[in-house]
Amino acid sequence: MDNEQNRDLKVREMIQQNKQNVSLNSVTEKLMPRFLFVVAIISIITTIGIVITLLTETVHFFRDVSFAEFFTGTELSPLGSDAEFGILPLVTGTIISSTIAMFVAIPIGLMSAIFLSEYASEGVRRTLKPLLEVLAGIPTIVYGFFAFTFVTPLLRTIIPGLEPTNILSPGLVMGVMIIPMIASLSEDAMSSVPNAMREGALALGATKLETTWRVVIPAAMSGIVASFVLGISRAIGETMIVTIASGSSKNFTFDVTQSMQTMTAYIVEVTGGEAPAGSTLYYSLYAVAMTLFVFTLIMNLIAQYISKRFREGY
Amino acid sequence: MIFLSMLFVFLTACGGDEGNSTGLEGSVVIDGSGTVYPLMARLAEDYMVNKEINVSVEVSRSGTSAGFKKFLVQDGGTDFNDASRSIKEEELAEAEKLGLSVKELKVALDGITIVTNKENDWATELTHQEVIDIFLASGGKKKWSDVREGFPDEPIKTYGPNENHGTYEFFWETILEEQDLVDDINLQQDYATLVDLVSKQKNAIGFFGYGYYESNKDKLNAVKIDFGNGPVEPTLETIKEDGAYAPFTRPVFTYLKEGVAKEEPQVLDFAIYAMKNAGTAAQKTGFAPVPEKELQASVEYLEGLKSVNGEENSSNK
Amino acid sequence: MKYVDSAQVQKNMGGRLRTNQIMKILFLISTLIGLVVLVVLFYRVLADGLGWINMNFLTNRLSVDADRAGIMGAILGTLWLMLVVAPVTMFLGIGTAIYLEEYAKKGRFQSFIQTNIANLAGVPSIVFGILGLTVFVRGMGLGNIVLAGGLTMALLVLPIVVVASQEALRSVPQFLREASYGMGATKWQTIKKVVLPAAIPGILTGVILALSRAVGETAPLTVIGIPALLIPFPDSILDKFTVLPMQIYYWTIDSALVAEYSNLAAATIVILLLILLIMNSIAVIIRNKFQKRF
Repeated sequence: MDNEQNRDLKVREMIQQNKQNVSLNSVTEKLMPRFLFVVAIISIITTIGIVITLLTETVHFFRDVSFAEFFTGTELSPLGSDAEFGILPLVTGTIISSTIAMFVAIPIGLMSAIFLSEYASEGVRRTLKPLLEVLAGIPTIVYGFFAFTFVTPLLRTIIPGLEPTNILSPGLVMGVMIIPMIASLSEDAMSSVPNAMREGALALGATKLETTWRVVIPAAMSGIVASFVLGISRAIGETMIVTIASGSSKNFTFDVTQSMQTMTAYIVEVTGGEAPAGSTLYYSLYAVAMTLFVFTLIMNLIAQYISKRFREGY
Repeated sequence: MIFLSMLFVFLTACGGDEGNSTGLEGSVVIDGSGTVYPLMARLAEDYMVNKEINVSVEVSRSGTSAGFKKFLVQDGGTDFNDASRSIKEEELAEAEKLGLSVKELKVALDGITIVTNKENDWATELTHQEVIDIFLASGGKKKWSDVREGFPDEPIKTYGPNENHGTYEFFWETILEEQDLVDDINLQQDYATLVDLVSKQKNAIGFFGYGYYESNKDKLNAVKIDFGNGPVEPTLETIKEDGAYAPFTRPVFTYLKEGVAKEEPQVLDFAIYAMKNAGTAAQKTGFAPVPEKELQASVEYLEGLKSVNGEENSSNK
Repeated sequence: MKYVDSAQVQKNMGGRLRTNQIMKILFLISTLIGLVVLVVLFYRVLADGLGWINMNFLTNRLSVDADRAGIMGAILGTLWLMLVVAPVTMFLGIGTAIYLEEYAKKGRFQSFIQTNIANLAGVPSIVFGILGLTVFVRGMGLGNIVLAGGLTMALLVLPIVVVASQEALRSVPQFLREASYGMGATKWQTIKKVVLPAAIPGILTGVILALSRAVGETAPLTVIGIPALLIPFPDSILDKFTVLPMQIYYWTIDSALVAEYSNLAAATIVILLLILLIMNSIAVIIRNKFQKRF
């Protein structure tokens, strides 16, 4: 009898306590979603912050320099009395380095993905895939060091006219850096193609290669193309490799053996010399960053659109 | 979370610096000439390690002109500006407008060295005029063979520091007498890049301060310049005061904000240390020393600022 | 109706099978190319740098002299930076993930936030540097201190934490939540005491991945402004600092002036890669050991 009464008392105490806590709990309960909402909004604030920051200073820039001069000018000499601010040398630098990178990353990345997804046995796949992930995890500064101290001297022995700072070397190294991204995303896309389709093709007498080429890849096309576009976006935004290995020449040229500057490397150079606030040089920093941001934003939106719109449903 | 708090405790415990100190704290911010940078960096490091570990002396090298823009600001800005040329009229006027009293301190003597690639065995010496013609737009020397008969028939590749740098300005104003530079000259922000480019380009010719040549003798050749009395090689001897290399020699400076020096004891302390040791540090970093008497005069001037400071401080504390 | 000409097929088969074999080898070679480059890179870095790593190198201050220079300041700077990045990005990232997964109504607004996060992930890191410079360094007047760098990095790696946390939360089976509600728990109580604990391994893996990224990033910090020669050690998050990747950068570009800087850069790379290896191993261990099977 005593025990039961004790137990009842304890339970009653607990219920009492709970009732007291409820008020605190219900406050927390009500506020938590609002609070978390505010936290989630911060990511949007960040994007808005980026856009506003870039936009306001870019507007200042275009008070000093005309649209025409900036977007069509091939002369970039930001220092000195007769400063010229044409962005084309930087744009060609960015596009050429990204193109070289893609020439390396797309074939090798795609072929690696095909191997891992279609040909490799489970054991082989389990060993090789993590190793590719390691490539992806290496900081870009390490690739920059590699390009400058090893790849460029090596290439200079093969290509006599190659300048000590050039766009070819960092372009190639960037390509290697992007391989894992393309390989991984393409492999994911190909893996999600149902086996039934492969088996159907094989049953019709196709070889593995033909199955891959004519069935799997077309089915995974949206994911594969999306990976290419994301790879290009990554190449455009890459900074350290080109800054270290490609020098700071602002000549408007298409010669890959020469030094070129990309939009990202220009930003590093100008902040390094730390332009005084309020000068055209300072604003040019934001104008170039804005251009860069728009480029990559467009690429990313295209990638998202492709992967959503053209995804084949099974 | 536990991990983070452990990390925090570890870091604050570790952070304590052991070193010499007389209790001075705070920071000294120095920017400006890339030519003077090795000298200032050496002085800064020696000061921190040997004398005042709690004072953070930061030395950057944006270039003389870029540095002045950061120096001549209303509030804040750098404490010292290193310069490989003397301060311009308009910069002095700007300082006056901002109410900044600026003291010029001569820290060393430098010689502009004309450097060529190691494999350049033809242009070991050039006349003063030939050097000017190579770098002038109006000089008309596109190929080495235009300079002298017997030189290779190959295009000359010119290099130099960009317009942020006092070295560029000195070269353009004093040596080229403000005439236009040849328009395909490759101008760079970093001296490291310049050294690298000239050392890897057979037909290159460039110019920068003696210090950067001296620490890279294994990669570059210095051209002997004939000013009229035979070819003179730039060395620590010839770039001295009244040395044979005089036309290409220039004093290099650092400019100090007197107001800041009076208010922040660590800035003044570093200035005095720097001037006391500039002579020895100069030779270690590829400069000729300023005559001892001049350095001593600077030290005395700075000490003079101190006693004004000392009186104010004692009344505050 | 056309019939299959079996004789023709027979003739072609040989060629088709051969092509298949050749391409298979080609694909294998492609996969190995990346690994070959990796091996060469490691070899070069180790060859140049390993000999320079000793107790002095790890504990000395930076110096203009290659023989005296050490990376203790950079190591401490990296640790201080993590001390800011970790809590900020965990708070923002996990909070955002909880909101998206547990509270937000599926609809236009929720997918707007999702798309926004995906876009942030694709913004070049140097643009984050410019944001940090304008807002934290100059706007808030912080200067180039640990706090400014840390906040910038936290925003940069935020998408990584959000995505990983979302996936972790999603993989907690619904029946756990329902059991909790069944016992009378409120939504937040359920999240706090049931869902989050179950999702912790996945979340932690995401956080470690994010920190790994922050440890190796250089571009945003070049914009914020890291002194090339910082001799005093940082004492708090309000001090100036330098980090390992910045030292690698400075030593690499100055290696034309002093050849030994190249070795110092290589040695620093070895240390950096070692730190990343340890961090990633911890992530793998956590994933394997604590992954609950439902």
